Amino acid sequence: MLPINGKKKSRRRITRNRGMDPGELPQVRHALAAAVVVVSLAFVVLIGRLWYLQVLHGEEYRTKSENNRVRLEDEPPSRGLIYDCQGRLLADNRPAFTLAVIPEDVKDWGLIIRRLGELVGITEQQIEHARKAAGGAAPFKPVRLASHLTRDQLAVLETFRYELPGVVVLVEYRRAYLAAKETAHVIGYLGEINRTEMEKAPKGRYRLGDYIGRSGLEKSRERVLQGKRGARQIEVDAVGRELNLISAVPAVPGYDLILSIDLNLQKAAAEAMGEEVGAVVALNPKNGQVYCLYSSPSFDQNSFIKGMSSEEWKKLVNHPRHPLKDRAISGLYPPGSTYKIVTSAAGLAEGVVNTETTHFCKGEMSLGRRTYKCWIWKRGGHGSVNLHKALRESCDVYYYRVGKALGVERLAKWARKFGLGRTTGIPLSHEAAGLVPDSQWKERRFKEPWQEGETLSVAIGQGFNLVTPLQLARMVSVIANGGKLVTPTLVQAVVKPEGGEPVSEPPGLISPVDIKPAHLKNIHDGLVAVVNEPHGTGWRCRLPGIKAAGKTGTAQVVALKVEKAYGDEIPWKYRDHALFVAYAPAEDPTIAVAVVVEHGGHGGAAAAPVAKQILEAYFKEHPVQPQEGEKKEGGDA
Amino acid sequence: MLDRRMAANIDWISLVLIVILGAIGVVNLYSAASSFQTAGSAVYLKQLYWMLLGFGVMLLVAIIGYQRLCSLSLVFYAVVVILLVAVLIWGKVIGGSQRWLLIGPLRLQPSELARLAVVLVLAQYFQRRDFGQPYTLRRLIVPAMIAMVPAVLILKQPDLGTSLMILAVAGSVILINGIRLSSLAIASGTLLAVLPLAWSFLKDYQKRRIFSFLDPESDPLGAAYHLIQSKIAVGSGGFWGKGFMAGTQTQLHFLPEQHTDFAFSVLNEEWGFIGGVVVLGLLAALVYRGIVQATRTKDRAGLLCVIGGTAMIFWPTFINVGMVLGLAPVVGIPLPFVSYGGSNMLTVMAALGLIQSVSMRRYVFH
Repeated sequence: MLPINGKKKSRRRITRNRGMDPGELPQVRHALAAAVVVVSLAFVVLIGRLWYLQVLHGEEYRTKSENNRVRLEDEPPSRGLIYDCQGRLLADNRPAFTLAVIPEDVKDWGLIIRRLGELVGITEQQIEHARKAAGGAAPFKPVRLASHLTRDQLAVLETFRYELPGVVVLVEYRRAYLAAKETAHVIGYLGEINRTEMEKAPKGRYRLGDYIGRSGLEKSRERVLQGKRGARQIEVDAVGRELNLISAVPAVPGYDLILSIDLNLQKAAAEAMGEEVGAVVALNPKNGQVYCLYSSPSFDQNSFIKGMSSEEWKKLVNHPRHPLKDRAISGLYPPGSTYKIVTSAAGLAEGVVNTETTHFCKGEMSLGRRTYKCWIWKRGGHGSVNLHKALRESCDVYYYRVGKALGVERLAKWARKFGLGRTTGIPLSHEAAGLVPDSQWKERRFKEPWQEGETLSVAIGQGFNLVTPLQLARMVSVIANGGKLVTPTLVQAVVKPEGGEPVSEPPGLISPVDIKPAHLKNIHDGLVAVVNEPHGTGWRCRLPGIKAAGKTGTAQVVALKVEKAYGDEIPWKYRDHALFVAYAPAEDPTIAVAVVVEHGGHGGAAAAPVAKQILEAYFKEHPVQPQEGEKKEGGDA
Repeated sequence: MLDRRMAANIDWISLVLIVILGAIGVVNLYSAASSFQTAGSAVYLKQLYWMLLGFGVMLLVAIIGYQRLCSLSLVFYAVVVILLVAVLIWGKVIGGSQRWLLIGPLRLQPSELARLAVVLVLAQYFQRRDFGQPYTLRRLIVPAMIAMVPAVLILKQPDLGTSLMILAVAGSVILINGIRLSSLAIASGTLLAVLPLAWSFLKDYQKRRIFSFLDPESDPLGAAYHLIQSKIAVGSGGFWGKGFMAGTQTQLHFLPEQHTDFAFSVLNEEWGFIGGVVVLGLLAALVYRGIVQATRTKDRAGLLCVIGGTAMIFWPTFINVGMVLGLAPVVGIPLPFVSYGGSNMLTVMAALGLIQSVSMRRYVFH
């Protein structure tokens, strides 16, 4: 094998190794000889193996390939179920019938296409499309043609099944949402996996035709809900019937989720909102567990599972009120007067005001050449106003003064302490961060310096401020829980498929806000007054027997320089957004609520009654033991 | 640059072998991928274009010459390592592993280049430190690191097969360069001891594949099913094969990755034992030609470039065919010329160009 150049070699042998060609060094020659041996051995082994497989056992394998009847059948895992906090089922798996065809078993495509068209109205294009979509799939995998067959279709197919070799009806478990409209945004929905999603996922996790979470918890908890696919290796006869099971790996179901969401509150929110557009959030102010997350208008998630026609899909996507959008976490609204909670906290903490400070409200305030009005300007103003009265009656002039004294930077600092301007960390996608404006932001965004007048607008929650309803609920929770910023969570516990007790989820992060208890108390008293004292703007949220606290907000959509129309005469899209934040019971709050009604008009009129209905629904399930003294006070209300 | 004496010393035998192997590969892919719907040209045509481009690369490498490539090797190596890091950060994820960098319309797989870079750097390194006696372990620390850095980066993607290929190629170069026998014994001993540790670094799916190779019954789902179907395909080919385009296992898609990693089972099903032996024989001949060239080299860098290039043909052949025939676990290594893949084709042709460049210069003194 190794040609030896004898002449050259003998001539060079006198010199030392260093001068020789490396190919002629004895150790290299030995190593190369060894390499020849190794390589030869390797090829002998490979060719020997070929001989063994193809010549010695060729006949055997030939028969095996001719009767290649060993098929691999998927066993899809059953997706984890989703329950509300009372154990009511929200997302279930229900059997549905799917029409499919196994291309390898089809003898006559013409017949199949014609008969399926006659029997269940499937067009040739649909069949072609489905086959193309499944191109390159493993052999003998059913190609799905239509899902959710009706009883009638099923009966027809069963009757003629034996005329149509290759056509099969699969019983598959499909997601079913039991409170579709009420929980559409928070639970989310599934969709059939597409190629991009398949490529991104680890190999083997999904198959074509699988469903994957597309929004809400179905998406964010996909990993635990999905479970693990199993498979069965089976032997089949010539027409594809199962003869015997060779081996199997059982599928592992996904984890069940137990949410903190309360279906009754979702229903109450849906009912209270009715046809209005907006969102309702309710959570536990102490730990951030979300009881209610409702966005209006809602949609039917089940239509995603059944498959929508392109018209239905277009109708949903192009709907003027955008039902697919989850306004509770991604709707951005000016906070309006609900923001006065932040301005109050900033004013007190920075020493700009105390409870004794009074400002005089004559219905407006001038700054430079502009006049800034209080909402009550037509009736001549609030007169002498302290913090308590300013909160209770939502006096804009008082907060213009506080805002002017604070400046925009300090206002922004305190807004951030209350969790505004960044996402709350709720485990859902597409959460909006909102906006806390400051001079740096304006410089970056508009290349213009900050104007002092803009500080006045910001101080009453107008101007550039943008918040989500969820952020509002978290903001008011800071007052309710004594100065803590909570992280909203949705899942209380998961139930593992092995069974056993539900495993609690780790609680959301709770971080302290450095605000003095005395200042918290001042604001809290003001918020109680909003609902319970005469002249309070939030009186529509009074509850029998339970003392609630809250704050109204009315966010201007367009600055109407001249108010030509009133009430119902204003076109819908120019009406103000109505906001209300609340918590109860005032003594030891167990629930905090935020309501936004888009273009609802006044916060006290449109949003406070919605909050009241949520609180009523909550306290019906969690009755409060009336305490001495407070009963009487509640009776006054 | 390319004087007559150099042209006269082109290894024509290898060149003929390459052309035959390339042609067989393209014809086999015509059948293996005949039932696929692909975007753009058919798979066999794409492979043909890659092959032609590969000849260009081979010619370019041969003309530039191994000495110049070796002197640039450190830069090349650094670029490859940077690309490997980049692929971990920005790479496109396909099938759960991150191997590709998207540069405009191009899909670059830097791990393929790594083998070449390692061979060149090692050749340069040993050329500079040629002390004419076998290496001890201590002196092999640097060469080992040269191979380990890209190997570990590629293992992270994760791509066990390509990572192992680098180690096998680098190991071949180091062994041929000379290692003291006692050191070799110690090194092999340590390797055996470290194996359990390396096991813990493997991804779950990699472990599963090894398990399923050792015990096919344990995994009826994944790799073992593929292995069984591949064995059925090869075995059922018999002595003469089922004929071109007539392999039932292939045409009915029983084979996994039948145009890439399992293309050799297609060839065996359709062309039988005869076809398999011819292709293996051609590949073996190519490897022997490499070793023959190695005995004629004039300097250490040349010797090691030839060995590296030859190892880049031998190891993938051995591992891929071993896998397809059920002798080795399922690791994704393409078979030179037979498996479809552009990056791989170019790397193989560059390796062969490297061997030619040494062969051409064996009577050119400097």
